[in-house]
Amino acid sequence: MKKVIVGNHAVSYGAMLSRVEVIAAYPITPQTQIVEELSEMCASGKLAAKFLKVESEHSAMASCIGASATGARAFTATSSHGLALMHELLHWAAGARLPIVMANVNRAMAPGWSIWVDQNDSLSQRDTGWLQFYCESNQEVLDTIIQAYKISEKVLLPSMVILDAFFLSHTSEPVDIPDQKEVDRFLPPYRPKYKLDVNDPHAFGGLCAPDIYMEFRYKMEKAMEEAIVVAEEVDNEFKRQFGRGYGLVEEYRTDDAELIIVTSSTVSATTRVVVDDLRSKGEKVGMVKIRMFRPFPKEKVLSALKKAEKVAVIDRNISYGHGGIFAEEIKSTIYGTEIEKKPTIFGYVTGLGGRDITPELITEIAKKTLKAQKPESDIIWMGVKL
Amino acid sequence: MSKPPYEKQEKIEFASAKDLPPTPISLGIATVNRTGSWRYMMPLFEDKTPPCNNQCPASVDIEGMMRLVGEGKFEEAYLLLRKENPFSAICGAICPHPCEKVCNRGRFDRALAIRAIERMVAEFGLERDIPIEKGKEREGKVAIVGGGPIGLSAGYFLTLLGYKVDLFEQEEELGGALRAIGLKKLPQKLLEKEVAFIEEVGVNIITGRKLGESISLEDLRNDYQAILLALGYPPEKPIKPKKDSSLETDIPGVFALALKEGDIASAVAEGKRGAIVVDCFISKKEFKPEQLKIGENGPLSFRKYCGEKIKRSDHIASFSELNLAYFEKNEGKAPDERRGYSPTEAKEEASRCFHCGVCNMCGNCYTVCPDAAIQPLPDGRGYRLHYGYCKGCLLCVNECPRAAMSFKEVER
Amino acid sequence: MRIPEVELVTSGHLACPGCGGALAMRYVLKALGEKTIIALPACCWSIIAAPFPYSSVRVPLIHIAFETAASTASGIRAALDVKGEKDVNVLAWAGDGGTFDIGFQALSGAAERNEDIIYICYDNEAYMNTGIQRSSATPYRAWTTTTPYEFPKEEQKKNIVEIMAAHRIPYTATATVAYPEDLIRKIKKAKEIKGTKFIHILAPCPPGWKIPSEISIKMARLAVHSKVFPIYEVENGLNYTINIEPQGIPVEEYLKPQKRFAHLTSKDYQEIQKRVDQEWEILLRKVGTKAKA
Repeated sequence: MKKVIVGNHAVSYGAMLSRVEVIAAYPITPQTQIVEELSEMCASGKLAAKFLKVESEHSAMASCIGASATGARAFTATSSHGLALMHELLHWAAGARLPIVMANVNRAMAPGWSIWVDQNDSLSQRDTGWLQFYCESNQEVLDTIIQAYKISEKVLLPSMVILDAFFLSHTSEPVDIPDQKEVDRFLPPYRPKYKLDVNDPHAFGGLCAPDIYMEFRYKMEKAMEEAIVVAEEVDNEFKRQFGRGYGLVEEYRTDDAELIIVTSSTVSATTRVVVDDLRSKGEKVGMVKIRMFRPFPKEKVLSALKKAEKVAVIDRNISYGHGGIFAEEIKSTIYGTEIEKKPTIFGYVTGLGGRDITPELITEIAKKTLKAQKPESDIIWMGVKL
Repeated sequence: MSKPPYEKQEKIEFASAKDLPPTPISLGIATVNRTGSWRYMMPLFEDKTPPCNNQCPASVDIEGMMRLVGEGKFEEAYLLLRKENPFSAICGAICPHPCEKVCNRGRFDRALAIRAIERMVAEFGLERDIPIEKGKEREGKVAIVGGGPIGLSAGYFLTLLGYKVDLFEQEEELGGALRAIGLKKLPQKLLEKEVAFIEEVGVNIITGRKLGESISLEDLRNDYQAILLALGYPPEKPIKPKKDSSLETDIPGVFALALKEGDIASAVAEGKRGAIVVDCFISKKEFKPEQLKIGENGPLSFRKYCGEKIKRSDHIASFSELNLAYFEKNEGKAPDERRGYSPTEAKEEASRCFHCGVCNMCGNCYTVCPDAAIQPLPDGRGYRLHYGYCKGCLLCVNECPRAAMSFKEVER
Repeated sequence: MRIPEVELVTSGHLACPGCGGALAMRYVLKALGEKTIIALPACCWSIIAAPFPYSSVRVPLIHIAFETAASTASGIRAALDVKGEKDVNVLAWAGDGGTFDIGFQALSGAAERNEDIIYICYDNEAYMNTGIQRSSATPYRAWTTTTPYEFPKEEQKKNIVEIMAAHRIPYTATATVAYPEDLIRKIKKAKEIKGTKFIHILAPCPPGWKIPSEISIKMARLAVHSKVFPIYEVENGLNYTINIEPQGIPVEEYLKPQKRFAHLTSKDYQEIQKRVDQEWEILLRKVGTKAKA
């Protein structure tokens, strides 16, 4: 059933169709519509879930951990400082191998208060062991939430489904809301092997001495590696059933590209337009959209990017003291491998705090990169009033 | 059925990461950890001697009597008294009860009315003619001269040991010095009853026979393996023992008893001593009084002599060693001056007994152990301390209301 | 004393000898039984519960972050509700740190939502697991490593029971390990009530209070009878009942055996006595007023 809905509601529908059982959430702009809609769904009976109106995001994640450990499918949503407040427990949820799915609306970190889009909040959590998916459209958001449960419940790692503040969260788009029966066919109920069960008592998360802790962390990394395979399988399966697939990495007109622009989230949608425009003017430009950021799909990124001579990475984030995070990760992937021709990677940082990344800006990035031999510096700031 | 807190747990080891669950999940219980290795102090269940038992000249198991009376087991209480005292009823009337003076409860609210309870139990037994078991019959006849409380006691104990006892009393009536006590304090009927009891146990009493007149030591020595002289106080013709403890006189096989103190319980003690000495003489055993004592300087115990295992240390459980937090003030009811206690009243009074130094299975130790290292034994016969897990915190010792536990330092 | 026979705490756990907290858990699980899930934040019991791969309790237990006892317990209850599992107890088991301080927000939030959990704070009056640092539950003038003898704690102990009663939750109570029958009765009572139940258990700590292990229970007893730690219960935050009449011994008798109070002067004792008497009067007044819930 097609409906014109904002990104936040796409999240709500994704959670509802996934038949989540426990929701614990705390409001924060620009996530509030997610929980408001879910509240109504629970109240009207459309969704048979327990909704805990917790008193902070930290408690939201703790409640999700408690619920998931007891065998319930748990869900929450947050943004920016809410996500930051959960940080301690993100480590916990991943280490406890709980398949919680969380929607995060990418929003800039304060101070100065900013409610607009920026990827630093979610990327700051990239070491916690959560899977991360960056979505380009409301449809993708809804679909990815459903996929995320299937992937997480298989590999036993939590997933973060990420959407841009306002550009997706508050923007209406037509979304095909799948049939509940179809989703049920795709995503069976959550039946974990290990849970808090009075009929089979165990202690979870007890002290691990140095002689055993590392083995558990090794297993976590192995699960992450498994997730690359599983995520692709699940996406293919989804495509077969629903007619829509996204891949872990999407290539757009990359085959004979001299320059590939690497994007994520809504910047991808804008960049598609720019690529078409430049191509029409004879420039051999392509785009690679990175959808799954954790685990980082190194092989797919490598095979896509090695086609070009130059790569321009657009980062709507920055790791202070190093540079744009996508650029860093791509550089380490490309330069760390043994291929004949390694493309030159240009790292652009722009759009922080919700500053618009316009087609003109992207075109400027492309032209600048095509003209340059090598990057003028590790971090190339675009649009900063110097 | 719940599992015991110290179920065995083998060490769990993992050869590789593959064998691990995805996240740390317990697969066994903490009993793998034998925390008994931590302790510096080691608690133990150790019954001690209650002050009342220690003080009673007749070494009556007063605490035991209290336990049985408190449970309404009057017949058993009666039999317990009779193990040490043929004159329980008379003691119940006229004993100066040194036990009550040292009763620890006396320093809390009111001492137990031990004497009145003893009287109730003794009369209960006498009324019902509860029979006393004697030991296996032995070779040997013993003659006792003197039908006062000492002689009668000696005769009683020797009969219990299985001997054939002939007791010669110069007067027509028995009782000796007891007859001199006023009838108000000691009713005639009571005296008669208890003497009759001793006769029923098997002491053969022959009255109107005076030593030196109708009977001579020579004759007695011919007919009897041993002769015990209990000639009362003051003696007419004092025949003194060679040394105090052995009671032997210059004449072999003739033993003389003499009482220094004047109360009935001491008389019983003296008679008991005589019986034990005579038995040792006849069966050619060494008389070892130190092994028969109750408590620190207590009197000899007939139960101990008969081989009963009384597992109590000599240490007297003093008032300061009790944990009074577990007792509620209750002065109870003092016995009626004339009629004493009814069985119900005696039972109530006996329930006030602290049972100083003696475990009555109140279960405090089990309750207070943070390590669940003290558990009840399955058949309800007590508690077991698991030293594999006891950390030596000594809460059990400290929280035992009645000082029935002790501790010692662990050698490290 | 008659307490339930079932043992759900195993021997071999890692508590210090004489630990009040270990004893408290033993009693509480006896009262709650096997159908109990424990949410256990960072505290002494995180260690007492034994390291992986062992557990010292025979019920399901989840170790969780320091401040999340009440919020994790809320999540567990939500999951049980969704699954239709009705007669399982959800027990949040936290120390004074995880209750009075860092865990307070989550506790207040859960209480405001009247989550159907039993929240028990076993209070040894400092952050004992990390080596005896002060918490807001540390009594006035007590020594801790962060309130040393030169600068003992100047602040009064936070009255957590009054705070929880002010949330008007169905049941709030105090208890201690010296009175196991009272403690067990209260847990059994809490078990039957729907909504948030908060029980504050005084759990003496030999190393932290600087007392020999064998008097930890005695200290709990003296705390009650000196009125420092009254034993009472509050229904619906309004109706107060005192369960154990204190004998009214002077506070000095309670404080003297604890070396954490060794530096106290007679002036201190007077001050503390005055305060204790004052708090007791306030409590008595509350007992006097019976209000409809």
